[in-house]
Amino acid sequence: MPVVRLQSVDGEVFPVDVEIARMSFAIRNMLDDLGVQDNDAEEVIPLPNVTGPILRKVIEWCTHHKDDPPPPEEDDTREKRTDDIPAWDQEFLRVDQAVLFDIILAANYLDIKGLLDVTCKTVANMIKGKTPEEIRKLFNIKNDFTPAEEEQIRKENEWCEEK
Amino acid sequence: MITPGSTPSLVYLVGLILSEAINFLMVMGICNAGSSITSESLKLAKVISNIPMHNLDTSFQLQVQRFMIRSYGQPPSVSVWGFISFNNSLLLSMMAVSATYLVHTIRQLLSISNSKSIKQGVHIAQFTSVYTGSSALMASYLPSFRSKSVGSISFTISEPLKRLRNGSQTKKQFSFSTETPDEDDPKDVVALASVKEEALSNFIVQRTIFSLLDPSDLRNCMKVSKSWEAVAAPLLNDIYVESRRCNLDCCKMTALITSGNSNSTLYHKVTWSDIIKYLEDSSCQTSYLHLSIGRVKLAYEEFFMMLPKFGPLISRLDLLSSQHLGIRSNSAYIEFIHMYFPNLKYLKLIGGFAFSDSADDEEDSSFASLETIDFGLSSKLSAPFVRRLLKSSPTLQSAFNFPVDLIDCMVLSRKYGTLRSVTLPGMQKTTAKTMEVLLGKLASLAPKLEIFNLEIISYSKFMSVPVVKAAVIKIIESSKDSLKRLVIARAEKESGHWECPILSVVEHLRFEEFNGIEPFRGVPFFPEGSDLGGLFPNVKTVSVNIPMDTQEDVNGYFPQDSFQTFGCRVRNLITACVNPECIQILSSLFPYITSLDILWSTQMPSVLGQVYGSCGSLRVLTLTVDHFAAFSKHGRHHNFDAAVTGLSAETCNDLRTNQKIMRENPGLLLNLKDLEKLRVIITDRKISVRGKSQSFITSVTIDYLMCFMPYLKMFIGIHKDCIRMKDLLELIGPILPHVECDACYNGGDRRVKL
Repeated sequence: MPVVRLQSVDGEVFPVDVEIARMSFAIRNMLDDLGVQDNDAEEVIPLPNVTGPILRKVIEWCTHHKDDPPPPEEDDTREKRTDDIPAWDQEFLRVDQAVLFDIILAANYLDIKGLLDVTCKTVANMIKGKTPEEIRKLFNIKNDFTPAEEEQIRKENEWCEEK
Repeated sequence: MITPGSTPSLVYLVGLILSEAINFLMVMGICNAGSSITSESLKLAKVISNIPMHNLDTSFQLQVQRFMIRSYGQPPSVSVWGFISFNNSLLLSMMAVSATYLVHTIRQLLSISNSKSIKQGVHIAQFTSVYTGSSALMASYLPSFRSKSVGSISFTISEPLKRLRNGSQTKKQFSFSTETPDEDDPKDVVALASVKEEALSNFIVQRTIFSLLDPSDLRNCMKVSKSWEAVAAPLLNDIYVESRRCNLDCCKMTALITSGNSNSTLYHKVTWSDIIKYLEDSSCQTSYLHLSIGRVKLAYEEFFMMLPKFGPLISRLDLLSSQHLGIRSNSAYIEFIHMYFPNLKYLKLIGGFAFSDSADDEEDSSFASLETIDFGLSSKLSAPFVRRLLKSSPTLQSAFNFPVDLIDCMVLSRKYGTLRSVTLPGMQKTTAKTMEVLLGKLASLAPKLEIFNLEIISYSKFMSVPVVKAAVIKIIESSKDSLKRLVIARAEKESGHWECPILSVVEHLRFEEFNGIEPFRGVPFFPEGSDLGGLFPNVKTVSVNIPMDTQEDVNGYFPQDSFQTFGCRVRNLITACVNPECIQILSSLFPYITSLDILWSTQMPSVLGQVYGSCGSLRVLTLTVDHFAAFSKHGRHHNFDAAVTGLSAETCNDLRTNQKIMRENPGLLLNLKDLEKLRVIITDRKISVRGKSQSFITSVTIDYLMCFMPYLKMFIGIHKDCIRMKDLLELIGPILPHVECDACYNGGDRRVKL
């Protein structure tokens, strides 16, 4: 099996099957751009945005999902659900928030749609049913609305607000 | 770094812009020439501008909105906000942070362009990786980007971020770690917050997350912070679409639409595409779209991209406020309707339309098929606007709720033959003289009204002014062959409604009383001996909206001798009265009613006990719940169950606890032998809040109905609340699978003024 070597920002090098690495569109484009052949085993691809521990997690996810069918194209008419996270992924993402958001950033940077979807679904589930204040507390976000602005938003949404 | 043969015009442009930016900064003295910022940025510009140019392709354009050069850390951070477009179509909204990422962005763009996967106007997902760093500002700019003219360049030196001032500004600050952060350690707290902030301020990540949320959650996200609002708001167009006349899979299509996301509730599972397909497939001319354009702004491209597709299919439109659409003049408004809804037949105005420009001489587009305009819910209308609207509607046949103080517009446009109902100015704004003039004008037009509401005239005691009274009678006379609904009010002793001619077309008579006119409390609407049956020979529905507390009140307002014959013809009774004794007397005046609509109250068990005893022929019973306090103050479960079933509150409580219906205690509902349908209407949306929906339709009610009246059809109407309807359906659907529901119920005589 052809292998590429991915280098994290902290210098750790991970040999990865090309097919697994190509699940990342960023890496796939890079390999294509560079004209890396399957037998260029010495080629090291630097990933300046991803640390070793997170890259290890990402590779673990990709390895587990390597045989999955390609994710469907964006389709606005398709129902977007958040209750369909596979059990393995749920277990895989049972990490603290910092790691979860690191994985999201890595999935975004590496352009791994499946991983980005499943991590975002996890965060969406964390948001669901929460009040704005609860969300702020959960993610440590500062409320930068003035009372007048809050009132304006409330008014604009009044017609369809669930009272 | 860049593959030869790619599209270097873009690269060149970036380099050029960067060079110009830095030169500008130096000239302005903003950057210290000796600082590392300048040297590094120059180096960056040099790197980019030295990229060899091949196959110059001008179809790509980089349009930069903002530069930010951060004055801390090494290397300096250069942020670029802007667009990359291809053949003038937005390709991506870009934020590139630092030289590395900027080059990376360009590189990716070029690789995409080489792979020929570019589609015009399509956001390229592959670019997600360029969104790094704190992109909150970027997000906040996005909604306004598309409507702005781009191409300008501005420069900003950012304030150093406080939390980074003392630390290293390398990427390691946000380093990834699988170690569990120690929340007591301030350093770890900052690091954790930074990672979260970085991820949650990343536009693509945010948008991906938000696109998975329901409208209600999205609305909550909008309230979190300004940057969250900027990303969430475009996803939540807040377009309320209901199709009341179209059946979609046997249920009324109704939806809160969010662009790009199918919502999660039963009635929300429609997108613009669904709607368009459905409208195209069905008899589109019967469709009804209520567009609440509260938050739809010109920047929301999806909405306006869809408008040309679905607009022509719409024949009925409720148009709320025009302010967010950027409409500021009569001409713009007419043009908007004309352009997007060319086949409109029915237009209802809601909100303010007080444009003052007249420009009567301009040649306007006109609405080729507009037949009806309802002015009813417009809070503010200007004469120029109304004049222009009427002028642009050559095929107008009916005008409802026309403000009578703008009657001159009708006269000038010679459309007064279309008047079907009018609204009168409020009591505070009107003097007897004004009313005299306005009604005099209206009477002189000999209108053929379908609905006439005399509330204001009576309440203001203008009816005692001879000229006003004469005008009213004249209007009623001219409308005698068209008037279907009449609202009469009892506020003075000599109202004189009975001087009206025989109104054989009136089907619905509504009795109003001004609350607090004590001297005339209980004074009859009609003098003794009046032949109401002769005056209103075809009235089938009577509404009584009068506060009555005693038997004397009812007997006073509705003397037996006047109502005996008349009452036997009435089939539908609607009343806001909640006093059990009064309801019993009232219902005895109308002994053959088959439909009764009563307000739910805490006294309901007693009320229904009385009603069940006197309305044996009742087929449809409607319980209208319009008062949240009734549930919040008193035992929520008990009252409703007890009201519906006729069982005692204690029994209901036992049943709820034991989950068993006692057959030996069938309750009072069974007294209604002919009852076919039970309708529960919830008009106060506070009642139907999640978690409280069980409060009024409980297992006791459902079990009871199933046990004793399995043939009973049940209808639940909720005023504009699709989400709660779903909750209800989940609750009762398995038990009563054929229950009828309407999440956009807007009927009922009480809520809709005649």
